[in-house]
Amino acid sequence: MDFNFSLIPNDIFREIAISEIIERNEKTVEYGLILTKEAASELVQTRTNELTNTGRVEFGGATIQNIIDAFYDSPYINQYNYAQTLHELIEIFYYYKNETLDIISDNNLIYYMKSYFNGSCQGSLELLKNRELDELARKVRFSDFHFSEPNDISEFYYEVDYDEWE
Amino acid sequence: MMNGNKISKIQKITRDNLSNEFYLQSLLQEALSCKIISEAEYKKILENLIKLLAEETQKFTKGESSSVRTETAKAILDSMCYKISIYLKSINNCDAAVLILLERPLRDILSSGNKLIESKLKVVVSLYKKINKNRINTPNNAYNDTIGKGLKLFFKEYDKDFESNETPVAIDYPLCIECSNYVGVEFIINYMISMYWENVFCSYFVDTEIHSIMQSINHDYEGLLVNIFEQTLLNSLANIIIGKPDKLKLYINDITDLYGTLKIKSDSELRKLFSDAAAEYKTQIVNFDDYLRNYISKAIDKFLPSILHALHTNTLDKIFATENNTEKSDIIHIINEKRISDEKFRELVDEIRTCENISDKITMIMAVSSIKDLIDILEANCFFGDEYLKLFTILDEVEFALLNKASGIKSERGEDHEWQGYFNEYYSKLSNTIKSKIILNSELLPEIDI
Repeated sequence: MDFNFSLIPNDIFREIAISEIIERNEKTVEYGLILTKEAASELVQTRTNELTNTGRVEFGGATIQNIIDAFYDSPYINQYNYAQTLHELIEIFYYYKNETLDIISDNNLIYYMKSYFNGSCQGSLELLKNRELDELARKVRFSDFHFSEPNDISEFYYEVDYDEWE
Repeated sequence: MMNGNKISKIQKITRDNLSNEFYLQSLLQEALSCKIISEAEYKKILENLIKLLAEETQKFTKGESSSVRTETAKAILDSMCYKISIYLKSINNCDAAVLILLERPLRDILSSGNKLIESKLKVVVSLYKKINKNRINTPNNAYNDTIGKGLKLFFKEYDKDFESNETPVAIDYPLCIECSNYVGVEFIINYMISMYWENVFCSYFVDTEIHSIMQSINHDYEGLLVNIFEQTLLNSLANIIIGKPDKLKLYINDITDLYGTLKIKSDSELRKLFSDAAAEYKTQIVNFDDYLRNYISKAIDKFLPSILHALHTNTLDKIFATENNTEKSDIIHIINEKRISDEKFRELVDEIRTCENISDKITMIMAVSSIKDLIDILEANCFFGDEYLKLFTILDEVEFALLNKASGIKSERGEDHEWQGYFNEYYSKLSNTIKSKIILNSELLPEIDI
């Protein structure tokens, strides 16, 4: 007999996760961001798919909620691209959990994703995935990475050189 | 009430049907098929196991990650099952063990398993010390490396928290009876216990005799993956059967005698003959106990088919290590006083000095046929450190007695050479029986002029 993870009570976790995502609307509504129950359900499904694709198992966990909490105040997210951005961020998150060899904690990885997304990537998920996080993962794999939280998060934001406009 | 009902259905599960490696899994499977637990209870236990896995995974990631790779989760689960199994195995009644799974929280059972593993780890340390103390003095690399390095790895690498079912050792030396179906700390304990008793048995015989019979199988047995105990036991039993207890070496004429005794026996008579021969050890070996008795019995069961086959094909000399000569064949004939010429001696010393391999050095020194030459070589910086000890293992009792005498004479003169220190170290580790034989031989030897 071989134990497998099919016994993880996914249905229960799923319902809990959906309701927790909906609860986030109370906070995000201030920024004009709302997720319907159907959208929340799709996000949970994306998480399940990505866990399978990346060969990972999650017990309970609140990855989606953590991503929402980190990104809802981003200047590059609006109601129009909110759900789609979350889908892609979930995919990127699990992909880079593997690529960084589980060395970076959930919170730190989300922190970096947010910093790059709002900063040097200017809201581009493509740049986030293929340039910044790729570079970060490479550094981690070659032991050339030391986590340090900048004192001022603004250093990650793209600084427009106003002089050029004058 | 449930407790009473379930326990009354006594011993539906037999221990022999359960796996040693996957005990919990096989216990649950058996409990289900014997209907000691219902499908619902079975599913409940598995669900509790998954909940416990979630907690253990949190501990593993130190709360920093809510997800882990599937293989990591599987490894943590296997480790948990192993710890739970260790505790359940300690309960002799398998049915009662199932009941405990139903009634006690899995977290408690896991903690009990953890405690048992910790106490087993103390046993491992104590066994390792014992093995180091009674190890066989042999040049066999697999044996020496397994004790010296392979088993030591366990103390450094074993992770009792999350990989308790893994066995991080580099064991090359094959035991006579393999400890199959065991993993983790249980494997290492079983391996060490078997090795300890193999050593106890071999320590009854002179190291040089064992070395000699192993060389009869293959002159370069140092590099072979062979079990020393098995060959020692085979030769010893054969010697008991032909009426030469205490001996190990067999000569061609002994094999002829053995063949004459064995060929007229039926299979069962043959088994009885070997078992009766093994019973002799009870009076001969001081520490002979039930474990060693059973171990020897299993070993006999293992090699009996080969003996039967050898009897049919008249190849007993391939099973028992046999000396080619009918007379005693010493490894180094150093009693002979024929010294080699000065020029040849210098060449030999230079060759030995430049050689880096101890086996080759020993082969070269076998050209020496005089005790005086041997001592001159020992004092010519040809050997260093442990190399002396390896050299001494190939000496037989008479040769050893000669060196002992020479060392004594030199000490009386106030001479103190490096080899004497190692010689005394090696001598002090010999058993009292061997020491008394060497002393007796020393007394019988003529005066030597060195």
